Amino acid sequence: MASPARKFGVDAFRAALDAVAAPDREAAFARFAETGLPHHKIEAWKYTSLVHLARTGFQPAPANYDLTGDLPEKLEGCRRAVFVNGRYVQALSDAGVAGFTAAHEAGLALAIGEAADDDPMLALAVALGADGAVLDLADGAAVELLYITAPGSAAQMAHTQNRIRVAAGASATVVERHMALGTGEATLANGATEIDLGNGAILTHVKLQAESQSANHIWHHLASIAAGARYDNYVVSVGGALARNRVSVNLTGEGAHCTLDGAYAGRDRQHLDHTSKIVHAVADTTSRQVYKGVLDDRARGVFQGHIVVAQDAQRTDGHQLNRALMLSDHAEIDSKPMLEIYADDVKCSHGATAGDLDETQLFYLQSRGIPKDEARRLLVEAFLAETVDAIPFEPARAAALALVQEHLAR
Amino acid sequence: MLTIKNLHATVDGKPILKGIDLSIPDGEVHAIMGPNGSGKSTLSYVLAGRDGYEVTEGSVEYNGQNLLDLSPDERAAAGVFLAFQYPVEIPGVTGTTFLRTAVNAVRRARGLEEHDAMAFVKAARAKIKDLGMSDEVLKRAVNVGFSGGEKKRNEMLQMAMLEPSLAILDETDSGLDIDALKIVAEGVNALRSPERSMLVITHYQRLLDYIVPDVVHVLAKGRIIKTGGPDLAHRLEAEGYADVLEEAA
Repeated sequence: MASPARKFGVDAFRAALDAVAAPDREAAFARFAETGLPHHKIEAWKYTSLVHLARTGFQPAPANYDLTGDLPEKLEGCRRAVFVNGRYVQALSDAGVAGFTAAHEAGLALAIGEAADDDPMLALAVALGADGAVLDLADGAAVELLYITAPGSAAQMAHTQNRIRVAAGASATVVERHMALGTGEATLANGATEIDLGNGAILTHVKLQAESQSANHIWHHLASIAAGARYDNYVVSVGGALARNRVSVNLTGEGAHCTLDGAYAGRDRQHLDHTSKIVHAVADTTSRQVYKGVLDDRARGVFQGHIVVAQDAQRTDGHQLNRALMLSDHAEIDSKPMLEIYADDVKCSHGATAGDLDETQLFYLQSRGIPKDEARRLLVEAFLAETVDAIPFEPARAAALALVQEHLAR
Repeated sequence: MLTIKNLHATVDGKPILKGIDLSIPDGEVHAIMGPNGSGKSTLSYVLAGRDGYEVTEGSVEYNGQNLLDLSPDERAAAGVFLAFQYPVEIPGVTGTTFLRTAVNAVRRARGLEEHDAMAFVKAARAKIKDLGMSDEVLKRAVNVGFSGGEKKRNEMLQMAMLEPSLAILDETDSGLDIDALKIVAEGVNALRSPERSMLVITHYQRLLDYIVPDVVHVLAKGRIIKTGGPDLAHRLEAEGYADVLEEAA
């Protein structure tokens, strides 16, 4: 058990910092070093400790790489930016999608800001960040950010910091895809995406995570949503030995809304974590969350959903649901909803269920001639379909469905 | 076609079927009537192979095979179809996916070529029309939000698509108004053929006005206590079960 007084990983990651020496990175790293790698005693990391990563000996991914296998087909209607091991690759990207410097001044604010209080990995992403996407999206923009992990013969890591801004009144789409090409030693992809929606803006933000079985994927979306704006975040997570998708949303203006939907499927010893925090800071804001997971073998799922309703945030309407399908006696789900409500006129709810496939449904399908394995697969896919089908952007929905089907067919 | 001998079955260790003997020759329609709790649904689940329905004694032979050796999907492929008393809702699975997966699984098992998407939709639409249904049934999730009548018609659609040689209809009349009942009965009658046998399980005689059986059996306390012609059903309707039960006691 980690003692809070001990710090893990500070020395292990310092060497990487020395390689990129820059003053504001030093400040960000200092913030990381206050805590070191997150561990079970930090409430937001109760079920997902990263201290073991200190022993892996991750080195910054080398600038040169071999891509084995083809990139996935570009999503229709999107302009694409491709990153390999954290570096922007112009030759594989569409021209002029975005600026690609990690905005370090802003990054520093992120790294030393309140959000980093319980997330030292944010500060580490800024301190060690390679290339990041800086997107200022106009109405109708659709961007695909493709992150390729190309593992090498040594354990390697890539850190990323992105910023997405959607102008007031504009409606835009961003699809983040995270996937591995090739096999090799362990990898760590640690990233943070800051999202800022102006008044009345709409962002459909889809994340498809299909990293390799030796990957660690730690990513934090931090969104600030102004009045009348709408942020819809969909995450489909099937890859990684350890994958954590964290979403923090501040609903800062009246009429702001967010939807957070997740679909995840784990097997073997995969550890899939979904942690969310929604702050209803002002009156008349709404949020909806549905996370659905399927866990087989010894896979472990974690769901932590935290809803905060500030004192003045009257007429808040916030609902949260986590449902897990357990396909093995050795699979595990840890579900921790948390409602923190300071206003008195609110509608908030949370629910969590965990169970096996419905025996009656299984028998019904079998009685129609569908063999048991196929019937199970059909029902598992249907269980996740609710979330996948909710993705409004068709090309992303199709890619998400393919990920789920591929995972289940293995 | 189907020969049941001295069939005993338990549910949760509790004996429900206590020695059923029943034989249905090719092409015949047999009705099983009986009061609530007599074991009618248990018999249908045992024949379809549902988990938890344990056969403790006796045999079921179906076209020369030991039916009890087969898994539920193998029974379906062999031609057994159970129309459920309470058809099951399957959220997230569309009618098309469900029907096409089922039809192709059965075709595969029977050594037939699988239907491609076009051939399937064409075949399904024709049957849907015959049953007075809407094509919506293909797009909607299986039985989700269906009325009682729609669910029962959906069972008939599945039966028509799977072309069974033994159809077991478990209380197919329950929850149907008279118009829906007629449509369902027409669907069943259209499938009557010298190669296809049927076992119609019902509490009421009403359904048997439309699907006229060759033989009527009365099931009570896990045994068949009386067998007769279609007139037996009328007698039960007129006099209730009490007299027949008493006679047999």
